[in-house]
Amino acid sequence: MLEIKSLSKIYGSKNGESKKAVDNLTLSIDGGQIMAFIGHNGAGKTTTLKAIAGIIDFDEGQILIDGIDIKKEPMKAKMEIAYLPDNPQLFEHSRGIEQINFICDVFGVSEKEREAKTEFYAKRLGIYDDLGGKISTYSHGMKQKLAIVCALVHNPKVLLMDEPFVGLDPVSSHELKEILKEKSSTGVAIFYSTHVLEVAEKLCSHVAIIKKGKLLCLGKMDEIRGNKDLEQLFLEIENEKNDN
Amino acid sequence: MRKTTTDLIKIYLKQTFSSFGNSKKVSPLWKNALFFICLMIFVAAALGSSFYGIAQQFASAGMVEMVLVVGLIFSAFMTLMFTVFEQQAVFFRAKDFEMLSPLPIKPVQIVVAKFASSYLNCLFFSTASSFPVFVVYFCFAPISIVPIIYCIISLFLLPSFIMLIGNALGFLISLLTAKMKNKNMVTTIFSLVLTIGLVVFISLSSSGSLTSLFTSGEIPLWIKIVLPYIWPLFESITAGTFLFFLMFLGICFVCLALSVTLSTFAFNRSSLSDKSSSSKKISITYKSRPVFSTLLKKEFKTFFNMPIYCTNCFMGAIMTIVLALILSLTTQDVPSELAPMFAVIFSMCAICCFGSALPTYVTFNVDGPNIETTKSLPISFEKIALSKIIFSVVLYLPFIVIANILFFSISGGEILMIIFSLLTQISSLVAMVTVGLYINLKYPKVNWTTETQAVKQSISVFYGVMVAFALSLLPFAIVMIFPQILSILAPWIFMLIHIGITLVLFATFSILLKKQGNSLYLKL
Repeated sequence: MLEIKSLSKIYGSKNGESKKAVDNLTLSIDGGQIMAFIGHNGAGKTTTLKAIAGIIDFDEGQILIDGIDIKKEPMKAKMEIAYLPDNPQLFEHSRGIEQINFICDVFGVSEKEREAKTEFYAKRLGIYDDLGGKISTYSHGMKQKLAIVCALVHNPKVLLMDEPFVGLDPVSSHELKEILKEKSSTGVAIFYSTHVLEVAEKLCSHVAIIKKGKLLCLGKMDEIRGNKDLEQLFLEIENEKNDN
Repeated sequence: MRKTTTDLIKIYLKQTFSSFGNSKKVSPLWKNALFFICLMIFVAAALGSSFYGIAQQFASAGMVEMVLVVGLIFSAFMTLMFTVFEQQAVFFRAKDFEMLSPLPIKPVQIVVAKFASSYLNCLFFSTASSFPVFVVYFCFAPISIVPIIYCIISLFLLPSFIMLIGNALGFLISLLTAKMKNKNMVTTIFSLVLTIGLVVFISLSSSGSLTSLFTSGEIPLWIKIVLPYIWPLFESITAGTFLFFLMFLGICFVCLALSVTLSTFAFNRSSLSDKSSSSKKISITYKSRPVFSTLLKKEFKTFFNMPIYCTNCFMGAIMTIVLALILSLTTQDVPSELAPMFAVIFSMCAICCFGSALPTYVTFNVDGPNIETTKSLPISFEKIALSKIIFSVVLYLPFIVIANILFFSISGGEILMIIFSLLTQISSLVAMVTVGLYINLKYPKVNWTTETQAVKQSISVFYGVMVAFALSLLPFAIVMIFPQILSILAPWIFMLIHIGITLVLFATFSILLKKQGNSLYLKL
């Protein structure tokens, strides 16, 4: 469902200073898989997710979403994805329902379907009663919940999420985990970055570990982890590579 | 303690200067500071030429010194408009309140640092408008060393009284609107009133009507009461009286002390202002709409919810109408054969007015981080660009039509001239809006801490204004280079040529947007 081939992204300036944020990254996620994307701060997780979502351009490689090249056919590819940023970016001057309606209009979700989907997800995340309110009055957690509803309401085939659990209360956090499991069971490919390794360990079928833009480890969660817990494994890999 | 305060001042000043450049590129502070100073010199030069005209009017009435009063009132208006917004952002709706409050820094240090950086900002605006008036005054009055020293010292203290008023007004607005639903709308209306006041004042100054204010040869009492620092400064400069200068210094220092006190009080309350606000909930409806209309609606919402954005753009629009009124009244006295030429002059001046503050110059700036949301959605760049262009055109079109109706209904004119005047202005509007969009894509600033930085302190605004100046001065430049053209070509042919040039400009930048727009948009 999502294929990344030799992705490289360089942030550079005109005076020659440049930083390779993502270096020759290759991975793929099939429908029904949930992949955790783990790495230290500044490892290149957000850059990768933004490149997949078509927010930033990249220098080398190819990204295919359900076989569609994001560079060649961005509109078509974006129709299949939903992106949840690390910090919910919403139209502050609008109301919650207006943001949802806008997303539904963009993806061509019918009025009947958007009503059903909004009610379903917004009620589960506990934001339904606040949808008539102005987004500028929402707390961080409420904005995050609204952004999640917006990401789910149009039935994306690929779900990209940057730190989706940040700011959520325990009940909503639990609900989101359940929603993600349900979505993956219907064939949606989920790729999300996180620092909460305990949740990733329980929730994800696959894991990818990135450091300084390079992919260090990729595979099924159980196979990669073995007898260790994810935190232990992550620290070992990080230290190992530091020693090298 | 002193080091923390100076560090904070440095940070705030750096924020101001760095905000002029591209937010994503780190350029040396001196470069941005140099650009800012050049911009201020440009503004000072432009104002200087206007003050010179006013001084000539006063000189013919035998009271050239009154240009000082007019200049200082103008400077007060300019500084006040800046402070009311800036003080609200810096003290009363401070975004860094939660970051700074838990740190072991005394509130007084934060306030002093904020106040000092804010004062320096005001100083730039105040100096850019008051320095030229001093220069103009000494072009007409005898040069003497003591008044010059008084002028130089006063430049550093002029913002003190206005900052106190700005602080008080900003605090009052924040206090009154803290629990209001549409607090931004209230600020917008207030700033529009200020804008209209400033435009009327500029118009009165340039029309010569202000000389009637000073017929007695003295400063009117209301000016002495409303702006009490002007009178002692005026007396000290014109008569060289030290006592009056001491009085001016006393007023300024008292105002500074009061301002700091008020700022401290306001900053301590700042966390209260925004959080107590409530929002009326509306019933939920799942109505589908065309994406384009939602994008357009979003543009309008952003515009009317950002007071500084709204005021800045409306300033040009309001000036267009005031200009139409003044020029049409002037045209009544000119011979009928010169009337068509006045229509050309009106059109070009109108282009200069509305072209000085078009929304597209900063449209991507004001979107801020939300750009990433739209970028991740399957919305084509063409659709986004078109919504922004149409928004700007729709916003300005009524003002242009009203200005033309006013001008031609008062001054009269042939139908052909009316049509050509309208077409010239509309084609220029469309061209400048398109050029502005391209400029903003090339020189964006999506990371900002105050709305002022996004709307006013952006290099894209400067380039946009330059384009507007160039377009409006084009026919005059042609006539100056080839004076014989004036006798050969009719005014409507001038307009036709202008329409042709603007259409070429529009077509060129439309192609540029089509070819480079998407990649520039991705880089935002």
